[in-house]
Amino acid sequence: MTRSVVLLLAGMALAGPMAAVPASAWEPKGQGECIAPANPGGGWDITCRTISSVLQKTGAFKGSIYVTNMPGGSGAVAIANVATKRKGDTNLIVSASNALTFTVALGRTPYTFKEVMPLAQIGAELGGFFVPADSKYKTLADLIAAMKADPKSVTFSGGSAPGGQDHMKVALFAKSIGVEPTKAVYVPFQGGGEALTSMLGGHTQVAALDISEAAGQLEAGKIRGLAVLADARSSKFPDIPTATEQGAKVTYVIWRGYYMAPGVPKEAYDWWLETLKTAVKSPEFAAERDKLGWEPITRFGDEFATYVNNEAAEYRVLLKELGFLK
Amino acid sequence: MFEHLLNGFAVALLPLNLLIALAGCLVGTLIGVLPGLGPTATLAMLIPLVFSMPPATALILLTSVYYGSMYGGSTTSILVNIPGESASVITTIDGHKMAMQGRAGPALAIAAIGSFIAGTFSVLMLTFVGAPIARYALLFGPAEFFALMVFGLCTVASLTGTNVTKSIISTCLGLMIATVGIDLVSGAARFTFGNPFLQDGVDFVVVAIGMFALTEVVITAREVHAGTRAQIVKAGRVWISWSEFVYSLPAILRGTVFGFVIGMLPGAGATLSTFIAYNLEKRVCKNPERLGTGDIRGVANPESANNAASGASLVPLLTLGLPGGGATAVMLGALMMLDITPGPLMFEKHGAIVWTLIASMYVGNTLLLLLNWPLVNVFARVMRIPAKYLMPTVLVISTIGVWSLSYSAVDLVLTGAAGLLGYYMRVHKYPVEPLILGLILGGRLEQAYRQALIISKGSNMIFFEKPIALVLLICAVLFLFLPTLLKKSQQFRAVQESASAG
Amino acid sequence: MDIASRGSLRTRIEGLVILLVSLGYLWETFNIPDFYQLPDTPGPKTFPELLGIVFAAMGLWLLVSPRDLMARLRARSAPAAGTAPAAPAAADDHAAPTGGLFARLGLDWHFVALWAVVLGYLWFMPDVGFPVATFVLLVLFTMLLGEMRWHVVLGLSLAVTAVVFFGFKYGLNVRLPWGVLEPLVN
Repeated sequence: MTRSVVLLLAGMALAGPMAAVPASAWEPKGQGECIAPANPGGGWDITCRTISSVLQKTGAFKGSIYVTNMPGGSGAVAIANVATKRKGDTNLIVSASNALTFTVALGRTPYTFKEVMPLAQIGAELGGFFVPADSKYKTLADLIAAMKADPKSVTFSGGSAPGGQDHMKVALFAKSIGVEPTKAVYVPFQGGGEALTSMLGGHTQVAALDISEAAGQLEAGKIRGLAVLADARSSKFPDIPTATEQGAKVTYVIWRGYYMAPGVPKEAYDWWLETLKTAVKSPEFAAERDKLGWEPITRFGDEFATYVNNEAAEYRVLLKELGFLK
Repeated sequence: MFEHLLNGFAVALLPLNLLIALAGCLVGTLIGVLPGLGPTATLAMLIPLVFSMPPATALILLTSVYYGSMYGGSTTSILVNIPGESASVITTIDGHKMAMQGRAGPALAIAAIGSFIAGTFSVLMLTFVGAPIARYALLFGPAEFFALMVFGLCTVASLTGTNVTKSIISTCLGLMIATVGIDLVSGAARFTFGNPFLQDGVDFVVVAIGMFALTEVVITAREVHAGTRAQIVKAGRVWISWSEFVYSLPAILRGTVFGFVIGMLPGAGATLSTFIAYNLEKRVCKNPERLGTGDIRGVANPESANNAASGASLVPLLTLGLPGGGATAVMLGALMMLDITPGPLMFEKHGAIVWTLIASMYVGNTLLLLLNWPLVNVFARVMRIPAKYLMPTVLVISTIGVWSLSYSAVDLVLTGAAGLLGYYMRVHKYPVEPLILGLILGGRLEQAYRQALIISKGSNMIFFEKPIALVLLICAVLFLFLPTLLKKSQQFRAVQESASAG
Repeated sequence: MDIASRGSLRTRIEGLVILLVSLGYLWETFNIPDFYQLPDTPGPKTFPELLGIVFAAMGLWLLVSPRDLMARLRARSAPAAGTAPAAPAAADDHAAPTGGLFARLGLDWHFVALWAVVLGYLWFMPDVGFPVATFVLLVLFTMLLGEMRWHVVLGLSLAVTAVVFFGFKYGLNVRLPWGVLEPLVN
């Protein structure tokens, strides 16, 4: 495959300037693909499925975009795959979020945002702590009291590896209430879906998730949100108080976006950029965003790339501070 | 509820939808037959079509293709001894022997009938008692999963091999291959030797094509060359007889129940259920010594288990909104495309579509059975192609199956290595099945073990304090040593008898 | 060399190989990087170490298990091996070997040629390209299977190559490489 793509690209690089076709005339051919680096049901999976459905409904992408689930190592498997095997693939986008920044910051993959092409952030999401509806923790205050009495008495579950983003919610929370972050018990699962199932089954007590992952169960009243980790309440679930309101100063906003494989020609990259810029303004996307409880915060192209690269540097400092990185 | 279901049927039975379902079953079966191209690959190819259709029609297409490709996987197991997907590994044991004995037709037919009964059973359960029984899936946390998988490995290790030592070696090897790649819990790269192509781990298809396809092709070539190839008996009847059906019915029913119970646990999946169901069948059925020699029950049982399990995995998804693996990934994708967020409120908020989905599952199951009546005839003819023409083609198509995974030359090299190892193991009577199960379960087994120990803060007592885990582990130990104990007691009795006689 | 000692010798060699593989595997666990882990819980090394030790123990058992036990095991399995329709390789294994080392290992030119063709195909296909590699494989393999009529071999190989290549490449979207034929199509 690599050979034919390379030839194809070489051909395009030559034909491009000679035929003097404007860059915007580039159109993807055939099927598109969005890699979700986690199992179905988690945040990355939702990020992929949302854009796939919006782009096809608005007709922005002529073919179809199918979603490939590639779980493992909190995004490390997918970024390694994309950086090495999918070079120059113009039809591929990969969903990403802060969770990938953690994977990068922890050095769990030899690849960073510099080896791939960060594309855009299409929304932001609030993280939070969730418990079964019949849990003994009625409010965040109950949880704080229990944590202060014995940090090991509470078991958290989340969809990322230790040191990843769901674990970070727990660690930052512990730090904010004066509990040693490394003492908090955190059980990693493959994606938010599994973490939620384990919490519903009572095998773990509190799930550290993103709101979109919990939305279905929240609406049904099966689980309760103890707190969202933000300065302002969620626009979709305004009943859940913020952690700050309840005396724990934690903010943790999750961006949701995409990167592309390295070596993608500029025309293709720009096409995706413009397509996403248009897509996030469409009523179809607004409907999806409301459904998922995302907040409308976006970043594109270079601004986004700078943002994620800075973020990786900041997280490295934070992880050292918390004792997760030597 | 009946009203909803009837409305669902009214949509699913529209002529256009019926036609789509039939086409879906056919295409699914034909693609599922190709080794390495399973349900997921098939569905990915069809997704372009889905958007141009009304939601109900799209769902009907997806379910029927899914059923078709699940069934197609067993066809290659039976005809050429190559499992198309992990859930039909067990089917090769008896299925291929049946084909060599000229009974490819009955083997394919009972697979279709077993799949139909099991598939219909799981949809019935979903329709009538879905929500209450789905709660049982929540009982399984990491400790219970770990125990279940250990139980699965032990039942397989204790039965398939000629001796326990060889089985344990084989299981160990499978688990060791499973540790290659990025660790799912910590993200650390293990045994990759810095090669990025090994980071995703070794895929089941790579090992299965090596150990089954290459080995089979080479062994057949050796037999043809040496003139020792057993003559394939001229095919007798193509469909099965009533007495064969009655003979395999208990195996189908047991397979269905085990498949359903195990398949409903998120992530445990169809493969584990086939292994456990077959090995339990061997302990409870009449004349267990016939299983493994080309007994029709050896096809009926795992094929039922596999289909019941894939149906069952939809129960927690549709009733409680809990996503699992396998079939649920596919269905989840389909539902999300149709703007349905899975959750406990799915029936209330999107009742019409969900009931259409359920109705289309009944229809898909039935159509697949009807479709296979003529198809069995066609497939059974494959056995008449002389090996010297069939085997090279099988080799080429199997290689494509590996290549299509990730277009990696490393995968092809690993396939070759697995082929050599598989050949040695087969010639020297090392059972391959424990290796395959070890490879499939390895990642989840380790993950569950480590999750359980984090929950218990490092204490192994968690496996003894949880009743389900404890019972499963006790059963596992019993199963591992039972064959040896039974043999010992038989020898003891024989000695006593000869002593009393003398 | 009689049958019994051959079986035993093979078991010892298997044991040795397994032991060596497990030692190599255990050695490689040292290269697994250390990441943060909740204290007192198993990390990424624990499970591989456990597996390596069990595997090594199995190899050691095969290597040093008492001779009389092996003999008893053989006695139990010997009648079974005798009645089963023996595959040629298996037959080689149990029959008293004749000829040189090659034959004693159960190898002959046909066996080596088969594996050389199969492994060669897997090794060269990505670079040589699917059509050429597959055509060569089919020709050689069909002949190894005893079909010697040239027109049949060539015709069939060409037909299968063409149908499979175009069917998978354009029908099922599998990216099969043109390889050395690339200049011809572009």
